[in-house]
Amino acid sequence: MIEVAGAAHPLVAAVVVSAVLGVGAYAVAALETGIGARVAGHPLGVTASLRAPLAQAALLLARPAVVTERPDGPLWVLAPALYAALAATALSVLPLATDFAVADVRTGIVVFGSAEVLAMVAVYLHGWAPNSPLPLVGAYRFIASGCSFLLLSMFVLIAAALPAESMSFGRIMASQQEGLWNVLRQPLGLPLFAVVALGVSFFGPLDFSDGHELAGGTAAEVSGPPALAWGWARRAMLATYAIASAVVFLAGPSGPWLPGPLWLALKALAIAAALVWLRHTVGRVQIDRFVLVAWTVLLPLAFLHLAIAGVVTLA
Amino acid sequence: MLTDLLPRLARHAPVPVCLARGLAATGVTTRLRADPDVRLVASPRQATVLVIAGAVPRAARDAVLRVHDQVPAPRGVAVVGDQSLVEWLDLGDVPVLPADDPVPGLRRLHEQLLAGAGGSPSRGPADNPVEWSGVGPHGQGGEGMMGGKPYGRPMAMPPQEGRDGLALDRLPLVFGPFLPALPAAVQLEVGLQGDVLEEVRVVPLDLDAGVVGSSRPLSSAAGRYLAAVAELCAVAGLDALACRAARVALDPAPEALADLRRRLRRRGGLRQATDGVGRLPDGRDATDRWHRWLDLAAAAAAGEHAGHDRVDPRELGPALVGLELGHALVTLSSLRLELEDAVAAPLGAGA
Repeated sequence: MIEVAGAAHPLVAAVVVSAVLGVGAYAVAALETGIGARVAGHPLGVTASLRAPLAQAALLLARPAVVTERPDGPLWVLAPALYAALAATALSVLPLATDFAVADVRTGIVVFGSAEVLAMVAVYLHGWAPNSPLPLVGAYRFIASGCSFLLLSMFVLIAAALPAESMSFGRIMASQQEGLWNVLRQPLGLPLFAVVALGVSFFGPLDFSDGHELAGGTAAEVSGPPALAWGWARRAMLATYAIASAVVFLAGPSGPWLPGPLWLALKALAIAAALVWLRHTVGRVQIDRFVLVAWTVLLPLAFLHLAIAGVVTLA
Repeated sequence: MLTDLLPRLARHAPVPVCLARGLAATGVTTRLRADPDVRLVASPRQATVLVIAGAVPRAARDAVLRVHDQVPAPRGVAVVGDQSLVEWLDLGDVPVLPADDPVPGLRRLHEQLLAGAGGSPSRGPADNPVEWSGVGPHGQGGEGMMGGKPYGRPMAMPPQEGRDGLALDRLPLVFGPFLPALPAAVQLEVGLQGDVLEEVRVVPLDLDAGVVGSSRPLSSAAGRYLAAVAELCAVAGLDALACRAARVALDPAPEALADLRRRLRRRGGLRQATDGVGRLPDGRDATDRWHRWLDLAAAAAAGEHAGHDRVDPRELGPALVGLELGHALVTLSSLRLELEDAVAAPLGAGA
């Protein structure tokens, strides 16, 4: 089953995945602060941007968790844990260096796709569990929009798998070392995958479930450590997508002079910064308009993208 | 060790403030929105401090106290403007902050809480006011998991015959008057099916009993329009742009105003959330309305005074039927000035 690097020892896997998700989520939060301050017109220095997520996390840890009237307690706890575990599962199949992945299985894109589909369950549970109307409406909205962006992911990832002749992310990365990066030979792929990243992480323009107008949606009733867990999990998911984008479209850890992990970090940071910039400059897209555009424009485009990738591969 | 470290680090975070906003409170709202040391939160659960500002209708007393109790304890409470709100709400020893500079007082309150101060005690009953009448461990009180009124709140129940053979349920709910997306002193009563409104009433609070607290609108007309744009940006998820708009609202210099207009009118920005939303019988959608606010702000900054219309909230219900809940809230937020002025008309106060 192992394609490139073999499976890491479970202990090593746990440490590596936790560290990458922790640092990734922190980087996303710092980018949110820094780019947000620039858009707001009061730019912050790097130190202040890096300190802000720590201060916010400390504040949430110092505050109490609240309990609503008759919540589904176990599911309320499970939802962020499940969402973070799915981010970890998706991350585990991605190469983090040219010769290292936690588990670069031959069915990597299937594992990744399964994790993103199950994210729907985690977000729905987070809205269902507090037994409160606005979180439930947020959960409905995530489900209503979910199919529209999740289908894009499979088309885009299969298109990337074609030139690699493998569903392993390691092979997809290796296929770009030998030829052009996918961002050039499959130019529609990265923007379509960015839509999936924003959707699954319910971030910025596609934050349908936790929007301000719904008083925070599925997070409207959380405070203290559970709010920290949920906020961290969704940023960890966005970081995972930034890393996946770097692997699938920018050859991941490949690059001259610098060590592979550093290349991967730089590429993932650039993608995360672009997604965060969208979060601060593009208003929340209307859900019905998004679903319409997704089914009538983006999905046909994704299919065309896949067809072209197939033809090019055969040629 | 960790118990010392957390509060020390937490002091560097912006103060998360829940604002219970009465009428004519644009001055305070905009100052809090513009200050990077404060974060106006979407839900009371995310706040450490509750700020009560503006002219609060006496009919909203229970609602204010409900929001108060929704802020997790230990909670700080501050009133902006005058002492009358403190006495009316029987809040005890809470600070009254100056309307033109409330942030230092909020910062002090926040730090006292982090240092272990007790905060304001809960005001509502410890138990639910209506007896539990549910069935089973998760009993919603009716048949199976549906229907009934546990604790006096109605739950969804499918109709006898659903369309297309599907058993669809409708949930009656009341939002407001302190939901941030809603204009002040307005409640939204809905019949919700999923996230779609089947039945809507936009209800102004009864002002017959009068209001408590002082009116502190922004002094400049341009500022009031820009403050409304800032609130709409926040509702659309653009909190950084909302902060920028609020800063311009406090000091509407022509260059800053022109820069803000350019940023906001970009095709991919605020328009994503408002294009085509809440089109009323006059043919205008939410985008048309905030474009008009920007035009009116520019005119006011240039010394011309062309006012805006008032919109009676009671006439809005039919236009919102069939909308998704979020769209309805964006629509109401895009009518913030027009609705608040109509509601406040009997008092002679403006937003």
